[in-house]
Amino acid sequence: MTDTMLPDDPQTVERLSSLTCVLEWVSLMPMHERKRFFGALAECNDAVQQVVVRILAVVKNPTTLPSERQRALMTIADALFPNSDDNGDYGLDLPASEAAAAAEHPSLAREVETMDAQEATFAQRLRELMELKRVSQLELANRVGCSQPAISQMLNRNCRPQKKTILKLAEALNVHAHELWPDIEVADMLDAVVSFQQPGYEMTNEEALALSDTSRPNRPKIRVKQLPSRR
Amino acid sequence: MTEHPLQLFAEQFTEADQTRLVGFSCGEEPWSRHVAQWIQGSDVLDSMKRGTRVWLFESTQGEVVGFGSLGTSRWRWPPPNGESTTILLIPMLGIDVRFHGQPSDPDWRFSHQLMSHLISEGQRTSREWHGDQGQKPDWLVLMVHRDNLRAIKFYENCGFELIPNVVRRENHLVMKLWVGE
Repeated sequence: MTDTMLPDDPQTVERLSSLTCVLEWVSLMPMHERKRFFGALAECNDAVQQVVVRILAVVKNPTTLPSERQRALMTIADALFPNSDDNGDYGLDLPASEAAAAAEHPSLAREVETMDAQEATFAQRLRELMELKRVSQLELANRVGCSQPAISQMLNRNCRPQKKTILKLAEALNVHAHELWPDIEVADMLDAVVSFQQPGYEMTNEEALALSDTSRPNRPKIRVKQLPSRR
Repeated sequence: MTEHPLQLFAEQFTEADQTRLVGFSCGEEPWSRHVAQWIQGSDVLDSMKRGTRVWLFESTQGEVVGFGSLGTSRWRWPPPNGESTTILLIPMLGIDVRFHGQPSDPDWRFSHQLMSHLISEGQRTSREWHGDQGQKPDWLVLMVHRDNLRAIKFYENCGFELIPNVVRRENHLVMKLWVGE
């Protein structure tokens, strides 16, 4: 395609660019979900569509961490499906969506299992800590800056808390975050590994200095040998 | 030729191998748990999509002793939009707890065999680098949690050096090793 065939209007270019991202995303959905998504997008007013476009930029950004990308996608889902469905649920059906993804990829199935177990532990620990510290749902909601129904949803496992919510809850209850969500450090470390591999990472002066100094190359101290393969 | 009974084999990892890794554990510390989660979950697959090579290390009996990975990235300096430097990196490696400190013969220590293979692959990648791929990577780097003293000691024994005054994401130190010629 030549440049003359591309639209001049930057907003249109941005929207078309975001459309590519949308198409990549929806290609992973089952057909009936795909139709539902496009229907919802078409029904949105301009303001909501603009929000979706802006958040898609976060999804597309190569420096966005997987956890942030997941949250951005969930926000898009919430923007597109704001009304309750026949069952009175809001947004995407997370358990159904997870089950569909898990059925296709065994590694995701294990992650969903782990996440479910951690969510159950979280709800139980939150309830225990609230009882121990004699904090009501309303009081905790006030301390955290959310609504009482949001606390109730977490206790009843109707919504999964974000990391920042866990940190706020921990602070409000005066406990360490890992007492509420034991694997919060593990999730942080996995994010650190992703950022370590991220192309375009801007080195600090110290890193740049260390990696440009070839005057004292520290070489392996062990015998280096390629291992054989049997496959 | 008969292989030594303590010789490890390096096999290219695929998604299908994840079924063999149920129960794989590197220990209970947070920095050990995230290693197992990385190889058992979707992180390893995401990393492979970015070009990371991953190996499973198997014993002569076919048991999975551990895994290791090697990738490249392009880091920039100075900000903003400075020149890019190609870096070889080890995103993740781990040995199942059943094989920690094994075998007692230091010449065949599994951790050394694993690291020896990764360094060898790093050297080969550096040696065979084409000019059109950008600047040749001469440094192999890895990241380690600052409290994981046992790992830091092990990497130092292999020749890695800590890059001074660098702490990434609050708790992670960066170590470097020269793999150029």
